[in-house]
Amino acid sequence: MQSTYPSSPDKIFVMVNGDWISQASQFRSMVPSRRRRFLAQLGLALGAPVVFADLLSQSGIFPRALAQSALERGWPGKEALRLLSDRPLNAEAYAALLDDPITPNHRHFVRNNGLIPDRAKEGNLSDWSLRVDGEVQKVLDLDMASLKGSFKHVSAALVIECGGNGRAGFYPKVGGNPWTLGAVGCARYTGVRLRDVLREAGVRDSAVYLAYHAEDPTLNREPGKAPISRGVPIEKALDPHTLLAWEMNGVPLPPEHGFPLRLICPGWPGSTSGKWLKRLQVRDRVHDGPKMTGTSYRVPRHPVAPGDKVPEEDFEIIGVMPVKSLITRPAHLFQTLKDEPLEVGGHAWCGEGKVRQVNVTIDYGSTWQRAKLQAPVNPYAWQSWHCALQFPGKGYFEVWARATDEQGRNQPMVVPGWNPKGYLNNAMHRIAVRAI
Amino acid sequence: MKAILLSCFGGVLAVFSVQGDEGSAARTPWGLVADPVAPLVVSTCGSCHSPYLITHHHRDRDAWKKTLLKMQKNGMKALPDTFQAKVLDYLLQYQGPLKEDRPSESPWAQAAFHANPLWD
Repeated sequence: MQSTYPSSPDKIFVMVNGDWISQASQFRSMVPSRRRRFLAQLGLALGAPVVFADLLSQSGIFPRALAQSALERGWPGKEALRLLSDRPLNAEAYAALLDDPITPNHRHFVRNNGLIPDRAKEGNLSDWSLRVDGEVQKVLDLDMASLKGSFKHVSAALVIECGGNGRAGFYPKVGGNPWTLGAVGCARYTGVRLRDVLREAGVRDSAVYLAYHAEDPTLNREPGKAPISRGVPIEKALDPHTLLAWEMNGVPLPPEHGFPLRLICPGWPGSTSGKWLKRLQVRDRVHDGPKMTGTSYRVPRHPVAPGDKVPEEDFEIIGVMPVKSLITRPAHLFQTLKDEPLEVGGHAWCGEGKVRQVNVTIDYGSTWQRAKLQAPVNPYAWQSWHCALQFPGKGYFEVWARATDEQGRNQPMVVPGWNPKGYLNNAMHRIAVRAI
Repeated sequence: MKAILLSCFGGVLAVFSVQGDEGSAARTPWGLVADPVAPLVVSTCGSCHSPYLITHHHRDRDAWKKTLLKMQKNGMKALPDTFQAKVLDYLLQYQGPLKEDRPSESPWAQAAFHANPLWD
């Protein structure tokens, strides 16, 4: 019997005693008669849904009835995402639900620092325009029609990964959202090249940095204050793959993904891909907006011991993200038949250039098998890989996947480079498989 | 007055607490342990962000105090000392350092690396 795997399983997750449990765990095993026993062995238990009270709400305390209704309501359409916070809204995908070559909107992670602007929730474009100013020859004010009508449209599959993806793996523990594997996605974005817009404005020689300013209010709606305003060096802003996008997978940007317009700076931390844009400012110095300074999105300039205190002046801004990969099929805790080859696959990506190869091991790294690796559909898209594994017999196995970029840089096996804010964990993804 | 306010919070707790499974502590809808101070924590921290965020973190008293100061910079209203002490007591009791996170005797004895977790 071939161990097959559904290409797009619909999963619902519930929280039981503080642990997220997959309600659709059955797709972990396509051997139905043995599934129940396997799950029992693993001690999994399904139970009552609990958890998110004030989802998408702005108020602090709810009457119990309302809280419970919010718990039950969840986040319609995004039940397969694991919510890390409902205010601000932060949610990641489960690795096994990222199997699609192009990540569907409802499985794409969401990372917000403030609240979703009303305009985005209402899909309201009235009075919206994008201002481009600063170190430019000509200040631009572009409404959506002029943006769409004045520049060449481009469409590309682009990886966005949160700089803190994998943070939960650091030890000693660090603050911030405890992302595990799923703060990454590769959606297809449509828009215009930021380069074309900046050329229209005429970038001055004094330009150093491109800063974005957006419409999202802070969590307590403090007037005149932004939760986040970051950017990229002007060279990255002028990269032909840095986009101003209004469409995600063929539809207008969903509210949580930045309607009406967002930056896409692929290969750099997701926080540089600003959402809900209202202004782009070309600056003659490194931008100093919220989450640009201090220790935000920065790592120590020199390696530090786990738990070290690091002075602020020793931090530097994160740029290009490291090479990384995911195993998206089968799911962790899959059960397979020992005599059948097991099809294993996933995606690999890196912050610049291409992934050169992906290797897989089932014996803790003693021997490696090279996977078939597809070329990216365009630069900064992730690359799908797959291979067939034959297990030597029955038992518990771990499948590890290791991507290598064009410079020969590998993913590490152990969680690398502890840093005070928990960024850039690109350790190999490992899953457990039981062969019976 | 403070006592009255706290008792009011306690009253609100009855509204918020949800029954935990047998043998485990009752939890608020935000996953925090439901004790008499929980509503104060929920109202203080939840005025800006989801109280559920607290459950992700385990810190010692100093670190939680620094967190409160950071939140004040982010717009949280400063708490009267008595209330702040109760919030800190609560955070330490239920969201204190996990055993494995406690510093060992020698800083060099901390794990030089951490095994790569198995995750869903």
